[in-house]
Amino acid sequence: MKKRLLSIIFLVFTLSCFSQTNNKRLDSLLNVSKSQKEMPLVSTLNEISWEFKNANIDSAFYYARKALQISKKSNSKKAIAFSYNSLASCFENIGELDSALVYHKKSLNIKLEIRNNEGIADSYNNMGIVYDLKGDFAKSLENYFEALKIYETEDVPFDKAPMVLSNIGIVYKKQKDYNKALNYYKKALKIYKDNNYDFGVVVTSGNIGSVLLKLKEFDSAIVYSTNAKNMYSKLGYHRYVPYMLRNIAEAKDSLKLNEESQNLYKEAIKIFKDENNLYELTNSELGLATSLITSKNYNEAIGNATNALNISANQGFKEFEVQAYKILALAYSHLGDFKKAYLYNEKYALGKDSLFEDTKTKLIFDLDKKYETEKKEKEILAQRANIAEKELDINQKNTQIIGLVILALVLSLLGYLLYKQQKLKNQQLQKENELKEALIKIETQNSLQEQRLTISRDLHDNIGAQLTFIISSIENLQYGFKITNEKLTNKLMSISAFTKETIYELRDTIWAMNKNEISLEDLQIRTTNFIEKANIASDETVFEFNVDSELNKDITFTSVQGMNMYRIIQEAINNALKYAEAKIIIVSFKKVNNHLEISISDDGKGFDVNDIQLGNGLNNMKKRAADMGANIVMESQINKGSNIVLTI
Amino acid sequence: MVFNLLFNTAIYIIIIFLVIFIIKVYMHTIRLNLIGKEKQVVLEASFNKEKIKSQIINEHVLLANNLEQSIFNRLFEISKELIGLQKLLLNSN
Repeated sequence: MKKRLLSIIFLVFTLSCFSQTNNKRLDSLLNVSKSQKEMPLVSTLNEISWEFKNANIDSAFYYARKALQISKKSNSKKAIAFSYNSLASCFENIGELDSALVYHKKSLNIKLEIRNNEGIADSYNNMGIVYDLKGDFAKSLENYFEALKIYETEDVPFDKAPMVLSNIGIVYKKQKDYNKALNYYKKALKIYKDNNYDFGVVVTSGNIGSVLLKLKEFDSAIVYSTNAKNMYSKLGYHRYVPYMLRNIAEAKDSLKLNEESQNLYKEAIKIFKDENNLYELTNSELGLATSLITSKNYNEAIGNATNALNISANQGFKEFEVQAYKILALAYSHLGDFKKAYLYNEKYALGKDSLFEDTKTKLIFDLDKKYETEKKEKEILAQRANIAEKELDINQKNTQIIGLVILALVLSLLGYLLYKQQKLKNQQLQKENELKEALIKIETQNSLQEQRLTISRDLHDNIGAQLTFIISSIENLQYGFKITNEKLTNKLMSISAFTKETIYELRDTIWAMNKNEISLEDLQIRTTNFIEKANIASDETVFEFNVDSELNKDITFTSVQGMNMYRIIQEAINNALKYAEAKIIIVSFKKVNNHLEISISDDGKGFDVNDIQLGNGLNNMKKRAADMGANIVMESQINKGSNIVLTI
Repeated sequence: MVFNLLFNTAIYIIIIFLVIFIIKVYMHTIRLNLIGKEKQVVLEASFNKEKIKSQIINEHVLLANNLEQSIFNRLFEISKELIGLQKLLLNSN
């Protein structure tokens, strides 16, 4: 109860718009509200609601709701937030903590929206108080720390931070974490002292005193509580003095200063009686009775305990009732009145059981809740394990599937490569066989042709020999038998000449057949030989054979080409000798525009190229040139000679 | 569980071996290709050589044919002349 009151004191102080309730102030506010409108009116109505909170809760609600209505009409978010705050306080006052939380949260949301940091911190603090009253200490601390964070960083009135620090101390005290509570109280005290804020100092000192009692630091507890008591008196807060008196009395009783303790208890009792604070009065009566028993004033103790018992029974203070029974039992037992002692002891036992039952029920409920929670947690864990196991199984199956897919791909690739390899082998084999077949075929053909050529050569040799025999026979006839018949002689000569020509032709052809290719040099040599023989045969004709030095002697021709070129030269020279009656015959091999040009020119009779019908010789020359793919030009003028040009 | 592990292990070992085998096959294919090309080049060279030889031989055969044709005609002429000569000799006697 004491703690709740101290909390409320802080709540009063942190809301800077509101002051302590008094009638004068209330009347003044009511008067002022009559002439106000909109925002100022809203502010005044909220203050009026605050003032009515402890006196008339219905009026408090009325004014808070009115303020909210006007705020919503004027659409001022800040005003709406404050109105929500007022409503929350009203609900808090009547113990409807859930409703109080709802309105505090609404206020907080608006303050977050409009970024009113101080307001946000105030809301967190208020919600912290509500959670504290609900017994949800974790949430309470969470909200208090949020508020503290903002108060410590924002530019706010100095008393906000220590107020929250004290609230945090209260929560830790309720959780019996007295050291932490003391720590936070001391932090708050320092800030109040630094700012010379006496009221803050006195309240915090009182809190520290009560915590030190719990920590059994009785001397320090007395110092703090005494300071607080003196300051309360100095500041005019006489109603809080008895609380300090009781703390000091408790500490002194623990230090065995019974007389002093009892005087202090009596002083406290008097003040609580005057204020009709029955709860604290009962608590103090019991404290005094305990002290009196210690100092062996049993009768007096019985008186005080009986007073406490009566009030407890009337007011339903079960805990005090049980305590009173215990003290009475003890006192009577010391006085030797065992009957009464027994009676009260029985009542104490019953009362304790009843209290214990309540406690036990609560404990069982808590245990049951804890058990259910643990059971559910175990179920959750089991399910998680099950899910994990299934996930593992799925992962394994996925791995297997992936493995199988990769295996299939690899096998496909392998199959494809083997197929390609086999195909390549087959293709290569096929090509190889085709080539081998063609090679064998061509080799067979070549060997057949070579055999044929061999037979031809043998035949030519044979023919050559026979032709030679014919010539020698004819010459023998000519020179051996002294033939006078001119006709006969001519015949023999013509046969001999014809046969010789045949042999030359045979020899020329054999020359060509014996070479795989005929070079320009070979042709040159053959031509030279022919010209020499022609020269011997016709003394009157002068032969000239010119070979261009730029010509590459290594140029080669096929046997047929070489043969054809040679025949053309032969035919041209023979024609020049036989028909042109030339005196000069010039044979030239020239290089003209990367072509080989063979020209046979003479200074003979010439012929009309257009008129004359070409004979076999000239036709053969053209045919041979065409077979070679060469160009032949025959130029001639009557009596001016002829020129035959072969271009290859 | 054990079966799954063994199965997975077996699959992946098989895959590794198959991959090695694929590499081997690929290398063998490349080698076969090279060898095949070499053989082909050799055979084509031989074929070309024989082809050139064939061209030469054909030309020689052509020359031989022409020569034989010509010699046949000439021999015929010579024979004709010799018969004529014989006739003349007989007539003169």
